[in-house]
Amino acid sequence: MKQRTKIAAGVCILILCLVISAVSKEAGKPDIRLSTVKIIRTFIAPDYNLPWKMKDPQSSMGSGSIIKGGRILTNAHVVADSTYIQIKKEDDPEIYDAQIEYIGHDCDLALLKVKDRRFYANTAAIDLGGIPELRSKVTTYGYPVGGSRISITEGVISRIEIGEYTHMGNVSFLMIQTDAAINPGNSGGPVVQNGRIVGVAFQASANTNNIGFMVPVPIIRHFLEDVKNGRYDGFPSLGAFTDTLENISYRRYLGMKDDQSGVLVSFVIPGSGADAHLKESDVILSIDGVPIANDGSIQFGNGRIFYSYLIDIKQVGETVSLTVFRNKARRDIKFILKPVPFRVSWFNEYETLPRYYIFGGIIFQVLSRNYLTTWDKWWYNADRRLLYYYSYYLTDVIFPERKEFVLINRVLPDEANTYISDVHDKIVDTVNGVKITSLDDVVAALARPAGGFHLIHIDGTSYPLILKASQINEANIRIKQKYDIPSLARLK
Amino acid sequence: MKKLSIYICVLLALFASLPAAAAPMEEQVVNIIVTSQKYDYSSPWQKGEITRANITGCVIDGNRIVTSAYAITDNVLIEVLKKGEPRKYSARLLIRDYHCGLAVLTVPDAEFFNGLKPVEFSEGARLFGETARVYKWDAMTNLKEYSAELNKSSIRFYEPGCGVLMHQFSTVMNEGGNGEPVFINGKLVGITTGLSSETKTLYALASDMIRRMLKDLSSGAYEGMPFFWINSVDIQNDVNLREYFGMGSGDSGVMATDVPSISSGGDVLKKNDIILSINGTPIDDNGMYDSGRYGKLYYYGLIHLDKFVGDEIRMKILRDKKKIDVQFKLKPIPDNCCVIPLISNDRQPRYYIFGGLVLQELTIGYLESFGPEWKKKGEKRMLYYYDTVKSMADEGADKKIVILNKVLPDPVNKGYQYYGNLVLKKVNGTAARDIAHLKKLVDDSQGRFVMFEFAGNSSIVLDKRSALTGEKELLKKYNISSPYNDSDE
Repeated sequence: MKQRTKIAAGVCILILCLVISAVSKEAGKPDIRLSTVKIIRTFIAPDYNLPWKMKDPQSSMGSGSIIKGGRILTNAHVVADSTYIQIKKEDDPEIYDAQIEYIGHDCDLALLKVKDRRFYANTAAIDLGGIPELRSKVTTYGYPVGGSRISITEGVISRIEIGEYTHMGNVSFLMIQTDAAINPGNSGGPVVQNGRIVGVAFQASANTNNIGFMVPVPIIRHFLEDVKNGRYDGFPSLGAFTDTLENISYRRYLGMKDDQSGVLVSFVIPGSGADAHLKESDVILSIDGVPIANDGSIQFGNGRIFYSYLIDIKQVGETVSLTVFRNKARRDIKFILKPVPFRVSWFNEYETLPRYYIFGGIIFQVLSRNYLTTWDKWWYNADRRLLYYYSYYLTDVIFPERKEFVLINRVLPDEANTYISDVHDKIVDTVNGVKITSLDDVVAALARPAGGFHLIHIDGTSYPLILKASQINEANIRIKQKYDIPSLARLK
Repeated sequence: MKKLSIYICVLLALFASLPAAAAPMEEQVVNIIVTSQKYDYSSPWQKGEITRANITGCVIDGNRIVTSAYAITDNVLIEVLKKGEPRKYSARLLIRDYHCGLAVLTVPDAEFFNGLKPVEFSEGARLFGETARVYKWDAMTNLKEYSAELNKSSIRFYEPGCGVLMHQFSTVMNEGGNGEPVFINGKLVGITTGLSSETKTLYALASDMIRRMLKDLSSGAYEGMPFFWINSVDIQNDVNLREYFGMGSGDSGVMATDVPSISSGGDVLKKNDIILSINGTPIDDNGMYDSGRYGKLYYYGLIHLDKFVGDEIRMKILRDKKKIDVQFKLKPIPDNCCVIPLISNDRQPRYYIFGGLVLQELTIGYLESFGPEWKKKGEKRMLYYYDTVKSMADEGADKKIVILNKVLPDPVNKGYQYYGNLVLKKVNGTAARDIAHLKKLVDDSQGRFVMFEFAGNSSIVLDKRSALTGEKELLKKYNISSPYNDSDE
């Protein structure tokens, strides 16, 4: 044991030497290698098919950078669903345990902390920079495809645009594109210019060459600002869908003058910030005084980006000011921004376990993206009707009275449910005559059988699924035991 | 030529060994060459690829030939050849019924039928397990014989509402399924309509279907299959369901779960009626009845195999725990039975192009233009409409779903060019029932603008005058002969 400590001490000195020489060469600029770490995650995700079960634990590697306050900035997807996070510095043989301080799945960012103070020896915190110029040079630091030595690649900024953040999915924020190689394992590592972070490398474009993306500083700052109150709220949503107004006939139809421009509100999401403030057919002319062009763009630096950026830089709970054109007149409106409200989750969810209720072998769950993605190539192979509900429940006003869409995942075959055991992936309409608007409704309704039977009506069918009330208790005990289910319910 | 006649002699010699009653197969089986051109549902103003196929038919009485309707779909020209002779005769279509999958042809030049003999239809005993012979003209000069084992006879559906009796054979054939006649003991049991080379299964419409069609034809005007279009579910042995619906221990049947009023019996049957028997034949808990010759068949067989439009159907049903007798007359298939027409063969797409917006009616042909995996890759809302077509049946027979297929880019539709695969809801605030109605709404609109609203809340506004002024130029640019079609032919 003693022997080992000695060796470690020796290595430390070696690093120190290296550091001294490196620092002197870079003439005052911090050595980014001292700020870049490798992150090793073990993670475990629930199985939405068998909702009481977890999938096998897996491991993955990513990168991160040390910023002010002893925090490690990385991607959410580098540490999501983790059971154990370990961090390694390049020239330190020690592996340190780390904890998540904050995680923001929408912007794919996370902050980690290491309790062991020794970790912070010979590290340097790196500052945030700004938005780099197009074609300016950047350097990425990280541990692509694992590896124990740091990898450094160089490239230029090739595009600044709003794009989809695929970790949570269905959300788009500002992202910056570079041709510097970004590979699995680079994720979470810093992209640096003039010694400062200009982005966190986070995703690459499949089937293309040299298109890698970083989370830019405005999004990082938004995340850091958000967590200042000790809680992560996420990005707010305008709460409305809009269409561009590039066609002059549409603008004239609305009575807009040629010097007016904006985007058309096509749908206002119930329960959102915009609900009761914006109306369909409103034209949003400007947000917080920034004029919106007919293609939905705003001026940004020397170029233009999509107007959603104006919402993205605000926090949940902040007020937004809009100038809209309604009934051929301008008017100013204000409302408080909220997160995206949803009844069927459109997003990949993490660190959350599926809620379920198993009764007489019937597995009741709720429809969500996590449920649909259990199908391989889910967008093509998942149940068609569920995909339709998922895609269009808002605009097609499907089941507006329901808080969530309860479904029957499948029926665990048992003698109590012999003739309904092939039912799967059906939305539940009523249980024992009660309209189902949430999973809790199912639980309550199943406590009250009608005439010795439990009657479950499912969407798209006229006749009920029937269970005999007197058989349920025994069946539940049998099913719990035979299918090795620790609990027949998870309702929270 | 010499070689050919020797070959035929050999063939004749071969057939000489068959039972004396049956005419040689080459006198009963003819070769059909079909030139087809399908409509292009993604560019509805034009026709698509030209294909030529070599299929088979067989001779029936009255100088007629019967073959698979789907094998001659979208034909431009049908030619027939006989006995391996090189002469091609032009054939004419007498009747083609996609609901039962059959087509009957004749040849104006009666000389064609010289030396040909009509097939005999198989009758009588059970066929299960018999070895059948399938005949196919190969390279036009060579009549090939394949053997096939009958595995199963069952009721299947081309279009919901019309059950057909189909035989399934296991076979070694690699090519076929295009009208080849299938014989057992020298008598016709069916004509093929499909071949799965993966499972080596050959599908053949039973000759009962042909006889049904010929009988229908002989009565003068062809009325086609009766229309019985309900959803039902087998009761199986579900004790809970049986108890709940008050079925006695000896009762069995199927439960009607959806009964559109346009179906035969639509005004008599109700949701959750349990059909116990049809015309006195009991239905079991799997929805089957004993047909005798073909074993157990799905209950649609009692309506479609030997019944005709106008015939009466009597049913014993269990409704509200009481047994009652109901009866109704069989109705013909309505011209436009579905909100989404489920058979697009030989039907020109109905469309209307205005300001470069390509608007058309949603049909199975359009859905199929998403590719062979259209049920997965098609637009989700359209697939939902397709899946729930029966529940939309009562919205009116002339109601169709109008869609925006795509936008042909042009200055008039600037900004809308990425719109496509959208379901049209309203034009100037009024719901469009079909293409003709849509065109009328646009034609009659008085204001300066035409407003199109789509499901999903997107919308398009066009300046009517600009759209009309630019129409000629736009159509010319995209090589479109007509901006409008609302007929099937």
